[in-house]
Amino acid sequence: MSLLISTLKNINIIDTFTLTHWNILIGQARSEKLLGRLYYLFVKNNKTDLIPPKVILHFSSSYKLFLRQQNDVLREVDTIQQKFKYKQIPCIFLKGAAYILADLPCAKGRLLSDIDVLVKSDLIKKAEIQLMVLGWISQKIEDYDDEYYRKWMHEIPPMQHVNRGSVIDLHHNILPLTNTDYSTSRKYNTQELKSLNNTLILDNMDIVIHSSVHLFTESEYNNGLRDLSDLDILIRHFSSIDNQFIEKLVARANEQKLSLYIWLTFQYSSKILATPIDKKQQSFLVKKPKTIMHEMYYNFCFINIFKPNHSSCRDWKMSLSEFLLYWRGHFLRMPLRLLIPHLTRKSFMRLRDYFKQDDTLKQIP
Amino acid sequence: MKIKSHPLKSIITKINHGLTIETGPFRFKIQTSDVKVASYFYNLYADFTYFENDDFFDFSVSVNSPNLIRKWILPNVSFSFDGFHPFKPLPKNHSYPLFEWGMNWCIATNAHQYLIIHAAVIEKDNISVILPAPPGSGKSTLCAALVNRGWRLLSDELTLVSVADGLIYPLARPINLKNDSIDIIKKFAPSSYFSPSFFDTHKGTVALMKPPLISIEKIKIPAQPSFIIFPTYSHSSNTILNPLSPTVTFKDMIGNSFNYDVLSLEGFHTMSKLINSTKHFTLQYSSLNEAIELFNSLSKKITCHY
Repeated sequence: MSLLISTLKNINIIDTFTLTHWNILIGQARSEKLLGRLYYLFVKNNKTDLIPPKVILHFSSSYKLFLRQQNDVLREVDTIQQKFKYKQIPCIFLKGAAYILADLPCAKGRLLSDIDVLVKSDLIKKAEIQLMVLGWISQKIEDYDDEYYRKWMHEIPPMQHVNRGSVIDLHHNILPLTNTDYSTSRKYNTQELKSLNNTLILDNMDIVIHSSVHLFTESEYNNGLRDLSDLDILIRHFSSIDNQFIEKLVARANEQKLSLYIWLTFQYSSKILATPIDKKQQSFLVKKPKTIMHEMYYNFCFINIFKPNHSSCRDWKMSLSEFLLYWRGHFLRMPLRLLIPHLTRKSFMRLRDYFKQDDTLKQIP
Repeated sequence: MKIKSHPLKSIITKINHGLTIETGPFRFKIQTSDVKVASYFYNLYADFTYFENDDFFDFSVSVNSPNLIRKWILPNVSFSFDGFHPFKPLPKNHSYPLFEWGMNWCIATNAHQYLIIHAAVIEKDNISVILPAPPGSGKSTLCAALVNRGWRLLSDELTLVSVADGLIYPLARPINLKNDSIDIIKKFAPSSYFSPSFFDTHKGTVALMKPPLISIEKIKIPAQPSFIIFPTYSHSSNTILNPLSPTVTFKDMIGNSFNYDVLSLEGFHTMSKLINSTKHFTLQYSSLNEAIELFNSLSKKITCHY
């Protein structure tokens, strides 16, 4: 097992770490964007004095990035929220932004790349225009990609702020139109955050369901372990304030017909991060892997994908599960008759860009 | 152990397996199978210390071909930091500058125990001068000239102001010269080592100059900042030093900082302390010798106002 996973499971193992251990942990945590989360855990467990100064700098630096971003996110959310309220566009903040808004423990030290906002599908055009008024514009993408997003996906192409660079993902559903579990009639349960101008986020159960759906429909798992750790922390936290949480979560997932995703979350967060899940409750989930073969396939893929993407952990199994999950993600998103033309087109586009040069270098000293 | 205490061949082998060097507060584990990169490195970092089987390094970086195809057809190289590729690949003949820029990038995006300013910084007789400037203002030229005339190099690109104690910590890495300044400095300091010139990079033609030995011998000694001078090269102008108000200095220093926003309140305090403990000027110059003379007389300015 990797040092990073062992540390997430039991923070006390760092008491006996040598510099070599720390070196490996920093590399693994950096590759999974977990340096900031570990810093939070070190502080929470009074471990900072035990850690060599040159080591802890890597963790605390990352935490500083989080603190800056947390401020930014709160301000951006406030801006959007005020505008949408005035224009009567109800909206729900999702994922990373919601974790920050609700001040959940999994937000601490976690960096996000975009702010996810959910609005009703008939209001999406109106919401897009209001975001443009505030300075967010659609990022430059190919016409094909734009059409693909608008026709088949559950979100419109990401919008970036012209001055501040923040990115917003505007959703009208939590699943793409083409997913077999897609439903237009799905109702989300929300909670109002009184201290933040009644900003809406999903309620605790739906937060876990949405994050699970998100994680287990991905086709690329660049932050897979981080996202699984989010779910681990969320479940532990919600269970600590409500001892019936797991039961309610199971009932809600069944009602929403999204129980397979919760089954996957239970299965792998308990297997990998030792999340306390009652096996009996897990068996009440309506949708489970259909056969033992399915379960074996999931086990192989997910146990190997939820590993630090670092030279110290990479092996053929991880590469194979990356490959399998890439295809699984695409099949979940669209049926073959759409997928084949799509991927053909994408690989052609990739080939064309292969010999193009980059300009990101221009920003470095 | 010094890099130069080994023959080139053995350093090439070591770099191919990964070699840890120390540059001021940071240890970099560097790896490349590119013999040219390794040999430029050997000459530019000759006086630096390296560690074999080091148990701790801050950043693990490498420069290699991204795949077999691009090793042979239109060869290019990719910079990797801990297995992560922050930039798209560059043509193979830019691999050495890419390696240096990549190291800068690692520091600028990760070392938030420092307020990091895009500026050169040099020191002599306990007088240290920060030279912030946008590209093209002649900052590196002036810095290279000064360190060839008795000033110690702390850094040419990244000024590291410690949030904890307000001191400036040296990196003493090679100086990045651009375009016309390459020939100017080669004439000015013919005995220094220069890497070959790399043409058509995003910064134009670049070449690296090896830092003088004294800078590396004193690499562990931080400096107390005393001056902030914004240089501008201006063709056939006299050497003119003008005082600059603390407010304008503050604003311009923020503009040249990489992580002022990340540090938020800490950044404000560190910057305030830096501005309050230094004198600030703008410098217009065309003659390097006159400019150096002026720098050598800076100690007299310590007592003046501003």
